[in-house]
Amino acid sequence: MKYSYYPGCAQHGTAVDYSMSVKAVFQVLGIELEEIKNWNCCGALHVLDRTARVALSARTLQSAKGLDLATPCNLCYSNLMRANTAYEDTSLKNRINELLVSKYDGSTKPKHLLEIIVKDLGLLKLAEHIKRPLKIRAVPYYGCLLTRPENRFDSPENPKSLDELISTLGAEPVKYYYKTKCCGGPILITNEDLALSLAKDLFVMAKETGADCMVVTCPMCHLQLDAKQKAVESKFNIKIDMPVIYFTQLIGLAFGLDHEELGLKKHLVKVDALLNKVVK
Amino acid sequence: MIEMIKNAIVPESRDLAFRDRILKTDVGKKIPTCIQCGICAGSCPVSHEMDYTPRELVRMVQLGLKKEILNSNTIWICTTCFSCSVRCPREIRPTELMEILKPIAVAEGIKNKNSKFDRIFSDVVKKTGRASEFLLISKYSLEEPGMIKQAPFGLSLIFKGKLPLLPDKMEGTDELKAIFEIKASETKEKEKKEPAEKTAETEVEAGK
Repeated sequence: MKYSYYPGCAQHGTAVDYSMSVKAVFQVLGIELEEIKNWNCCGALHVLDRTARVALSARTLQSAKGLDLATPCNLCYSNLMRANTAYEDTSLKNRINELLVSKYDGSTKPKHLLEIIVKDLGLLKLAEHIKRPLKIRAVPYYGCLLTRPENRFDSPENPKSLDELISTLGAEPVKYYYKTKCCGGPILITNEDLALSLAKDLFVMAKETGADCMVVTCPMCHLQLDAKQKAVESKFNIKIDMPVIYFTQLIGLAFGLDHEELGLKKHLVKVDALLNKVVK
Repeated sequence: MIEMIKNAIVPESRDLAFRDRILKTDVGKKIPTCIQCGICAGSCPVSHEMDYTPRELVRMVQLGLKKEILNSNTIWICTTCFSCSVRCPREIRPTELMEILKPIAVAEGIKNKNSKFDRIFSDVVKKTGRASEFLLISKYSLEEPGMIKQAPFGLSLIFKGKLPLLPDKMEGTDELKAIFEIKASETKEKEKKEPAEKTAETEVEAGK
């Protein structure tokens, strides 16, 4: 299996831990991720002009050269998918193609890494590599843009793919009513008070389940829930102490990979208690 | 007691050109079919902080309440989570409505933390091709001195090797420059055709 790979900006910065675990896990799985040369930012939620935003993603999609395009980020995934929908409008497509050095025909299929593992590879195949079934309980947290707007690889209301992945790894996915509720990440910089209160709601609900960790699929959710967890604790005067790990890190742990190789030492919330449970 | 007084709508405050402009867009086409059921507002994780909930916003577009819409915090508080959009029984997409209202607000001279950050973000991507977090935050902090409070947080990321100080760059950003200027060039053409009508896009340009 081979994919064109679009890491997105965060993989070179705040999501370097995610990046490490993606490399390690995909190597074990034998899935080749060939990074696009000279990729550009997808515009996230901050390039307000719609035409420019579509054009940024069109340029990236064009660079996939006939392969499916793999992305680790919910935000990039959403922008790429939406660009393809926008490209169904021929006049917009022609206008943007005039600007691009290489024209894009609208045919590249963007895929989130979770989709690749659950749908393309399949969980049975994934299970063949498990060396250390995880005897833990985990919160499956999908965030917003992995499943919304509609027509993604999983349900926008009650997605199951991450739940199934967690079960396959030997762990128990807890029932979590906020699995697709916004974490507040997109407004963290401009409206921190509101962003932290959204994260607090997620944590309170996660703590009630008695889970050992939350599992995420997006660098922005991780920044908000791991790096900002301390800020939530002090703002609301509550103790959370909830490890937040990427789904690729969870897979890596079940594969018996070293936690440092998976970037787990780079988290701001300590994962020691979780690791002790995993190796026990 | 919670105070729940909202100013009554007066016909003079309606702007039908604004209304028609929104209704003509892909997003706007379904807006007249809204049944005010409120699923959008109920699904929104942040509607309690909004001046007007998504349900109210849709009604306000129907009425053409340009000034109230563009001056409200609603469009800037939206986290773009699309919960409202996937649930609307009329297939109206309030998230995308917020998205088209933002550049119009900016063109009308609305300035706030969000518009500032968005401008800086676009600028960084246009010049370097990538959104390096350190560069973004540094530039934003120069315009928002309150960000100094975040310095310890920034340091904690730097210590973990998660905030590289050197910006990530792609090669050949001329293509991106063209991408970011597409709107401007389109508007110039439009202006030639309709010199009398001052569009919001030309105002964006003038505001630069």
